[in-house]
Amino acid sequence: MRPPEENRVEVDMVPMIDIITLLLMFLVIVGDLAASASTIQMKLPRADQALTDKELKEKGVRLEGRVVVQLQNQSGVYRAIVNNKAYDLVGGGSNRKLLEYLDEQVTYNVNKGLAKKDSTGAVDIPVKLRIPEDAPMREVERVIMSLARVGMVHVQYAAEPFGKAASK
Amino acid sequence: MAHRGGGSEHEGGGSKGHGSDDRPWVYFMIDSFFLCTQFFVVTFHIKSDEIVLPQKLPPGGTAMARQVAVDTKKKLSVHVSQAAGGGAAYGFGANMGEVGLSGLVDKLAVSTSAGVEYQVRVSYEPDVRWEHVMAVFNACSKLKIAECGLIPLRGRDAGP
Repeated sequence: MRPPEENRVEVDMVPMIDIITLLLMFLVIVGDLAASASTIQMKLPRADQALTDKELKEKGVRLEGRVVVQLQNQSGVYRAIVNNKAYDLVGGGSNRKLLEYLDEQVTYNVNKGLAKKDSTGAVDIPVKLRIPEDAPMREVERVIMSLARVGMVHVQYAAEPFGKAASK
Repeated sequence: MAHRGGGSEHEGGGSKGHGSDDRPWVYFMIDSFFLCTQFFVVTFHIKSDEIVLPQKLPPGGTAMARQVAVDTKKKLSVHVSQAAGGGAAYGFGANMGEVGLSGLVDKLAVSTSAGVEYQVRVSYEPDVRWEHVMAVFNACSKLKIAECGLIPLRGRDAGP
C-alpha cells in the first residue's frame, strides 16, 4: 500500500516581499512629500554667521513652539504663509486676519503656560522667518510689523550657509 | 523588477526537490537585493539643516512696538539703498558716506573696537532686496553686535 501523498503547501515569499517593499516605498515617498509641502522652496539669503537648530539649542536659544512664517511671491503678490494658510500683506502689518491668527497663537501659548508675556507686551515665542533673498523690504517689513504688533519679537531669520546652492 | 520565476521553478521542478535545486533561492535573493537597493536609492536624501540668524528687533524700533525705548547704548545708523546692477550701497553713520558691504563691515568693526556697546539701526529703501539687509545682520553677528534692527519705512514708501 502506498503511503498517502504528503500535501505540502509552500508559501511563495517573493511576491509578498515585492508587494510589502513597494507599499513601504510608496508610504515613505508620500510621507516625505507631505512633510515638505509645509516648507516652501525658496532661495534664502546667505549668512555665514547663521547657526543650525542644534547649535542654537546649545547656545540656549529657545526653539520649542516655534512659529514658522514664510513670505511667498504668488504671481507677483507677496503673501505671508503661516501654517499652510496665505495672508495678504498690507502697510503697517495691519492685516486683521493675520493679526487675529497670530494673536490666537499668542493667547493659546500664554494661557497654556507655554510662553510668557512681559510688561512691554513682548512674548517669548520664537518665530522663524523664511524670506526669499529677492523679496523687497517693503513686503518684508509688513511681515515683521505684523509680528511686532502681537508682541512676537524673538525673530530668527532663515538663511543659507555660504557655498550652497538653492534650498528648500 | 527582477525575474519572478522563483515560485514556478520550485513548483515546476518536480524531479528537483527543494534541497536538490541548484539555485533554490537565487531569484528570491536577486529580487530582495534589487528591491532593497531601490528602496534606499528612492528614500535617500542628503540631510541639510536650515540655519537661522537669530536677531533682536530694536527696542521701539517699529512704530507699533509697545516697548519703551530706554537704553543708553550708542546707535549706529546704516542706510541700505539700491545700487546700479542690482547691488546695494550702504550709507554709514551721520554723514552717510556710501560704501560696499566689505567697507561697511570694516567701518562697523572700527566703531565697535573701542568696547562700547552699540545698537545698529538699519533703514532702507522700499525696493531694496532682503538679502542686502540680511547682510548687515550677518555683519552685526560677526562683530558680536547683539542689537541690530530695522527702522520701518514711513509715509508713502510704506505703501497701502
